Amino acid sequence: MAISGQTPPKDDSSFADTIVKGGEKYAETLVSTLENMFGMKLSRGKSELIEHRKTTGKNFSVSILFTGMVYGEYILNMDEQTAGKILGNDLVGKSESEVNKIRDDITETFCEVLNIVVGESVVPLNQVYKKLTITPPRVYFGTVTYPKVKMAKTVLTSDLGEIECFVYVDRMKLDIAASYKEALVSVLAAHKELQNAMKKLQDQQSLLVQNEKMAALGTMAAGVAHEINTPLSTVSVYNGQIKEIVEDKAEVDRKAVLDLLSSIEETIARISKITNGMKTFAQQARSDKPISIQVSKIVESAQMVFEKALAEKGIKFLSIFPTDDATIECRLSEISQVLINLVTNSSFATEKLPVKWIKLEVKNLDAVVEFKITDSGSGISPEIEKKIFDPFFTTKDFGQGAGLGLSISKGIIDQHGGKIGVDRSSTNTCFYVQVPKKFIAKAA
Amino acid sequence: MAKIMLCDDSRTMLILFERKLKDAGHEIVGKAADGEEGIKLYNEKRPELTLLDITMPNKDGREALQGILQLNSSAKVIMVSALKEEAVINDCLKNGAKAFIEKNKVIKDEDFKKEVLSVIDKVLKAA
Repeated sequence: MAISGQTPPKDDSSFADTIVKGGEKYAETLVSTLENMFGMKLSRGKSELIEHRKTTGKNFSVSILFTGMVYGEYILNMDEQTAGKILGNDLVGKSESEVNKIRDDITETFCEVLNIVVGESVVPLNQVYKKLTITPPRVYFGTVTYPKVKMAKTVLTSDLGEIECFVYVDRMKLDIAASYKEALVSVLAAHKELQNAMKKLQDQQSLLVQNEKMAALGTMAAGVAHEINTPLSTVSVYNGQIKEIVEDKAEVDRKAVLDLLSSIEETIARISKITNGMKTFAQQARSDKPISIQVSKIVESAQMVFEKALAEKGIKFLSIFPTDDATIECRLSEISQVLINLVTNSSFATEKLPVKWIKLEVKNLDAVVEFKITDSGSGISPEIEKKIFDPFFTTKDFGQGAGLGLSISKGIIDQHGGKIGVDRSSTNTCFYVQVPKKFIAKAA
Repeated sequence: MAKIMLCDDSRTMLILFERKLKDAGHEIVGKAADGEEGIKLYNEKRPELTLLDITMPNKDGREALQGILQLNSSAKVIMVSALKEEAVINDCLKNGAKAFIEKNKVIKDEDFKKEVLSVIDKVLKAA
């Protein structure tokens, strides 16, 4: 008998109909198999739907579970005495060992019977609920209670006793599938929201990074202005002196004027050197390409920026170079920025201390150049050290920095394939930066 | 009609064969659950015909066939198996088995008469 329709029933009544038809097919197959195998004569009752908790009335059951789009079970239920008689063995009056042997026969044979029957009767059910998987048979001696499920019950009668066959289908699996779909939809929605939030954060972060860069540029501009203003005022003084000589004296001291003029020339050359240095720095900042540069030049370009601020705060600055000036491949503007950031941080930390100094030490190691920035502070606590490279972490007063300097510095050094960290061996506050001499671009 | 011995590790097959062969008028003189037991039982009962399953524990059907033929070179043995491997079947037939029966022909009465009983009769009648 075919089960109508190839799609799972949606409403309860057609679902119940599917189960009853499944029960009819099962009972029909069972009757013909038992007749064929054991020559039994059976009459098949009407298949009916039961929806309450069911305790089997007989004491021997074999069942086969199936699972897939739905979950369910085929159950064969009879008294063990009936089962024994079907196999030609009466249990009555038998010894315990004989009964056990008959039970083994019953178990093996009815497992085989149910395998054959379910193999055939599950075919139409499998057309409605695809990909059903069948488990090996299970045997129970004694009564079994089934939970409240929609179950088809068919009674087969014979002169050897009554055989009940049950089949139930539980749509719990279907509901799980539906819930899974719903969960998936909400997970996807949450994922989308997270992606948007992430995008927003990334945008904000790049804006902050940009702001930090602008702030660094501001500091740099102030430093450059100072660098240029000092020689300019020298020029102005020399200029005044020349004016005095030329205006006041009838006899012009040519040598004095020439000396002053050459001093002016020297000072202008100094200004020119500064502006040229700035040009290189600015070009680098724009081009983003690594160049080979002497370490002393990097330090000079950075020093130009922070020198004035240090002087104003009364902080002594000391730089120590190795005798051999190493050349490294790097993005000049970026490495300078790292040094500026570290020295600026040191300047904030030391300005309130009674003893104020910052030391920049350069070491030429094998494959790397190491910069050590030490200040008169007494080190960093391990708690702070843990978070020091985190974005937005700052110990500075509000308005003195966004807390991005060190995280940007770490990003820069990471991209250069180098290392940045706190040197815990120093009694003072000390940061080290190691930059490989050969530039190997790392992913950002 | 004939004294038949069964050798199969499946109790279901033993029960089915016994019932159906008895219905057809044959006598079951012994039932063994593996090849080793089968050889011993053959020696004891000396049946007219032995139905021998191929896939069994201890000694399988092919080994049991050999053992039985060693006891009696003119023993009538029919191989029974769910296996449809022609190589195995041909091997048994070449080594002295008289015929081959497929297990799935045992369940339905109609198949049993047509494909099992007729084969048994033919083997029994042969010289």
